[in-house]
Amino acid sequence: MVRFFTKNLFWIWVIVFQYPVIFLYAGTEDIIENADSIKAYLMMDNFSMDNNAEAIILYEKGNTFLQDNVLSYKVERTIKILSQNAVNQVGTVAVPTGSRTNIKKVSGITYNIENGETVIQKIDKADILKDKITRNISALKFNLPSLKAGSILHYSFTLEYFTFIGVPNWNFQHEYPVVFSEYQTSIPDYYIYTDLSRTSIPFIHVDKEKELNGQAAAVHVFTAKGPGNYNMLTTTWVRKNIPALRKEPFRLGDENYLERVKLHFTGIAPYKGSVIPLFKSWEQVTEQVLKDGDIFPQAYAGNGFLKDKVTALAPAKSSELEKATSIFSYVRNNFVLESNNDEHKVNLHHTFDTHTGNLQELNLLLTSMLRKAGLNSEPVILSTKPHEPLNSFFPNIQDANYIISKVRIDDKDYYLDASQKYLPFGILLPECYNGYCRIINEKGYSMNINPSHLADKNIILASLNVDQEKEKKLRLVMDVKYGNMTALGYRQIWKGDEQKAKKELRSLFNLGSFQLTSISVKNVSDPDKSLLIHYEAETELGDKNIIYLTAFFDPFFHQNPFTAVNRTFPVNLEYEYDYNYTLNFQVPDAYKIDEYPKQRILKFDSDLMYFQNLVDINENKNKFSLNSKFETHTTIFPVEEYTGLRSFFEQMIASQNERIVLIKSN
Amino acid sequence: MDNLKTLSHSVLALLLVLLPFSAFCKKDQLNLSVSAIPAKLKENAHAVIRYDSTFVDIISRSELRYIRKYAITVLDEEGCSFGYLQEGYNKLVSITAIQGHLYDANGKLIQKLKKKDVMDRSTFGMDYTFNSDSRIKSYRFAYPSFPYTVEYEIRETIKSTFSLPDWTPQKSPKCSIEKAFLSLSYPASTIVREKEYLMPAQTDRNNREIDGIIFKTWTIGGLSSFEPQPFSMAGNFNMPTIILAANDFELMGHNGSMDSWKSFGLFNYELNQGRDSLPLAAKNLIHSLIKDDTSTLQKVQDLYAYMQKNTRYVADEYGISGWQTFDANSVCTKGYGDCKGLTNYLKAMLKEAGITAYPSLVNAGKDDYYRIDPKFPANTFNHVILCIPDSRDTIWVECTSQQLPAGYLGGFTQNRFVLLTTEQGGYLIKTPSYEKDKNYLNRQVKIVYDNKADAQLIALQNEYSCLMQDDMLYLLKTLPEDKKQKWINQKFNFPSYEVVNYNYQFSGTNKSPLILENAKAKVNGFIQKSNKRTFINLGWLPNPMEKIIQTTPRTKPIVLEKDFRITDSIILVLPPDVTIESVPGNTELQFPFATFTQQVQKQGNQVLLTSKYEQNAGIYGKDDFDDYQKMYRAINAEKENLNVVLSTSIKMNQDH
Repeated sequence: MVRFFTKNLFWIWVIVFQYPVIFLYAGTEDIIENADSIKAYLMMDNFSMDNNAEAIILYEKGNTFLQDNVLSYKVERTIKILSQNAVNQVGTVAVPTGSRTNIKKVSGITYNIENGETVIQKIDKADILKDKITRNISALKFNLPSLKAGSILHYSFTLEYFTFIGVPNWNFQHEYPVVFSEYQTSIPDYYIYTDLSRTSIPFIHVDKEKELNGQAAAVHVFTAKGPGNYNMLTTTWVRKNIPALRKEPFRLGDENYLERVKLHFTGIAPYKGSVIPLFKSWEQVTEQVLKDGDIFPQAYAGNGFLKDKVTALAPAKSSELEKATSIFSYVRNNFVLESNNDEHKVNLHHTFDTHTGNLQELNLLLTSMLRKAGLNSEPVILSTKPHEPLNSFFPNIQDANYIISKVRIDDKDYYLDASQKYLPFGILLPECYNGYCRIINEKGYSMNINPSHLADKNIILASLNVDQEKEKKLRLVMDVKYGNMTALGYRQIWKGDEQKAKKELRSLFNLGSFQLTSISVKNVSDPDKSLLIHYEAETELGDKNIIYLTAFFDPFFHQNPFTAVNRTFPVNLEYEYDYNYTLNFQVPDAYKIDEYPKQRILKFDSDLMYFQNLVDINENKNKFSLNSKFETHTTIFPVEEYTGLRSFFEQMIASQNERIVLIKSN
Repeated sequence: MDNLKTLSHSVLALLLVLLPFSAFCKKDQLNLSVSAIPAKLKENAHAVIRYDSTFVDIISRSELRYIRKYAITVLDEEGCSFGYLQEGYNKLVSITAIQGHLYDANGKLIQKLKKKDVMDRSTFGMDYTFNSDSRIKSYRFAYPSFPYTVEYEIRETIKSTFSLPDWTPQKSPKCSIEKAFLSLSYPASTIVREKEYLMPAQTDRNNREIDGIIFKTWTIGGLSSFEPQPFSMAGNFNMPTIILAANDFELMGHNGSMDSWKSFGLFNYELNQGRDSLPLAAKNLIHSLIKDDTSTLQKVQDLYAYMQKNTRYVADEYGISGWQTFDANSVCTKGYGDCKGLTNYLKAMLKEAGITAYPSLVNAGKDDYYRIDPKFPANTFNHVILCIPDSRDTIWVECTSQQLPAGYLGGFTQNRFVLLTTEQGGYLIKTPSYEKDKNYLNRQVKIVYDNKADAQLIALQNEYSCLMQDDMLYLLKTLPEDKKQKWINQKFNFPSYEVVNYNYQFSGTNKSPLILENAKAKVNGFIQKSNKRTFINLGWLPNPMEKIIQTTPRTKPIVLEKDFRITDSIILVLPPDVTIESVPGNTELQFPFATFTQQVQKQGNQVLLTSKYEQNAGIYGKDDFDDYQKMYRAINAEKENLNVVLSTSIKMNQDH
């Protein structure tokens, strides 16, 4: 009954949304109905609320009306354009719709000022186009005419769905600042919707509708007799002067910050005083998908067809961990993810036979096989970054867009994803580490999968010696062992092609006078083993009296990743960093070390971020060694710590730019 | 009568055309097992084209049949995408049949393509076109283990001969070809031209005429995959290709000829003729806009600036609109249009101002200099710009830009052949190219070293001219201040820095625009102090040469498309009491394709570093490639050694 959205279906939507267009934006009755106010806004070229704004949403209003199982959703917006960029960004409107959605009452108007007069230009009906994008998705699209910096545009449209669930959510916040935003829902009282809002100022409940206008954030609820034997519940939210949501690197996705109200269908009340809760809690949702669904129960079914294979992969005498890794590797290595096949009915037997399946089929099959081997394995649903994590109070299975498998061995949980060729046992894609998840089992537990579960441990070992054969040359040998996440990134690009790997690594190698003489790569396609790179390079030693050498042949950072001076949002890293670099240097006989990088320890926020440079010098043997470490023990840094964080990186980079100085002995 | 003839033609054509093909299949092609692939073709290949047979059957100037049947063995994950089916179609091209089969490594049939699983989508959202009739059908077989083989057959009816299909059987250097075959047939009464590029020496060609139909076939085979050689494309293509053109064609009810550039230009001129009337108000406005202008360039600049402010790029390429402009009146009224519409609108405005201008067809793109073959008139254009002949000098205008000055073409359309369309027909001429004196970057850096501060204040004064300013111009003219600030805090190569103030000035002339950049930055991490020394690294300006990675021996020429010059000067002002332990040495590198000089001078308490890199556009031999690499490495090595080293120990000793 509940449809499970997979990542790939989502992909189609992404494409639609990526069109360089902001769909859904229109105007205000207040402004467009008053010629003087329109003119005043047309004359304005600067808004004190945001000097950098390229456009201002002067007014926007959404209205959902649900009656007789027809849900009608009207949107209108008025936008003042302040830059030519914004002309291109908001001037084209595209509204994606499903195959059973009606779209009605489309209008668009541009207001300009010419010779001191307001000029109104309506969009021609013939210029409102429909595009059948795929079998199930269409788009309505149009361009506002004669737009330029300074113009005001207004548009509105109404969408009509034949459903009673899925009252649209409303965002009060956008890429542009908003002066006034209102959302109203009118829903018969036999449908129960719960709302969840997020705003920087809490909504004040007001008794009279007109009181809404005096507030920056207010809500008004009103019940009236409906046309049938029921009441209509009308709720109106008003929010004013909302700043633009700006992008920043190392930030969670927009969904996590946008001011908005979400509406959630929680039950029906067929007659007064009776309430049938439907999606009240996650436990209830879980129970429902296990009872009535035809997807998740397959993970728990007997699945006799798996018996022989599982017995062969996981003999009784092997340990639980051996059984789990063996089954996991089998599914990951021998099954292929079908990327364009989400429409068919899930059938694990068919998946097992054809060795092909979509995300949910592969990870449910894995779960089922692990269970068949007597292991404690369960499917887990989650929502990937950049989306919000699943909401613990708002059980909505449609928010989940990913499914993994969990296996518990010796009181330890391992998270598995067999759909990705280059993921090792117990590691997920970085976007899966997004907090709250739900286990789909009889008890319906929740759990959190956080980026702190994930550390990217990189080890670099470099040695520098005089070449035994060619005495005038200094020879560098460097071995790099990449952490899970760095290795995953490379493996996804290299796709098992060693030549491609070498070529790319060659292009990244840049050590000034050192010339690469050989490079080798190990375990490009085997994610269960560490990705290893071996470099050999050499440089002319020459006959200088003084030589300046770098000590860091693979510095942790070349440039500070935190380029912006100021920060608005907390810093969120995708995983924890763990870098370790060691250099062993046998100084050429003719020279001695005069200076070397300073010993140093940097700590940030007690031990949450840590950098060290330790050096050891043996003057008798003319040997020098250095160990440098960088570790983070958290992935979140609050805004207040940003300046310190930036400066920590600054100092670490400076430290790794320090040189070794050799001078001719005697 | 006509219909009958067409029918017999196509039946006959099909029979005859299939004859050589079936012979070609019989031998070994039906064996699709992987073991049948010669070892040489598997070397370094990710996919092997087992066979590819393409039939282009021209029935009349308004109709052709296109059949392509091919099989590809996918050897590994990198080769997967070659096994995907993706076929575009539109109002003129209809796909009449698609078949597909999946075979395992032994050549055993595993699966057939199911029609209902073929994904069909509009191209909306995939590019910047607002509206068009183009759609895509796509399909992917999924198979759990490599290698496997897919086979597809696509049949199309194309209701025009304006653009004939190209033939490039080797889709990528990553694929090898076992066998590929092209058949072209057309009535002997018509002229269809073909041109071969980079076809292998052993190409088997056949040519005969039967019953008034000309049949031509090409068969090639045994082509290995290869490592691409970057910067080597001096011709029109980099893999074996045949392009076709019909001298007399039809496009949606419009007949035309492309037997010469002249006639093809005339067709385009006539197709777009009479679409330049403007509303009265617009005409009056034009005269008021230019009333004080004395030169043609001034008039063009003023009208162009007006258009830039009042229109935007919106591409509606539906049906004939893909080739014929919307009329100037509608672009003027709605305030938007595509390249044709905006070009035609400016042309109409100029006409009202008494200035003649000619739309010029171009193949746009930063790296598509050589796409047009001047000796082979064909529809190989994808964009249009406006050319305004002026007594002194021609004025070129890119009408889709809201930022460029009139008279300047950026990297998108400069230095290549374009087809001027006039009432007398087409003329192939070249757009301007920018020489070193125009195409340059000049950087001046001043550092007053403050040995008591962690961060050093660096003043930068940079000049970006012509192609060097293209990308910046767009950003600077469109970004709001806060985004500009973010951008400037990312654009320099310093280890860690903060720009404390900056300003930009747009100068130069219409034909060679120049951006002056003034910035002051607090920079960390380029100075290291130890007990005895202070290192001041000056090597953060990027290497002016492009890094080229090639692991196999070079066999192709090295092609440098642009002339340019980069000059840098860094003035380092030191406190009076420091002792300089060492400064970098001088360097001079000289090759036919480029020169590099670097000099370091000590003047009192100042160190002055100057460097100059000049690249000479041209096509150089394969032996020059090694020199290019050598030069690149030498400059990199220089960067590492660009340290001014101050000795602090001496001073400390003096202190004691």
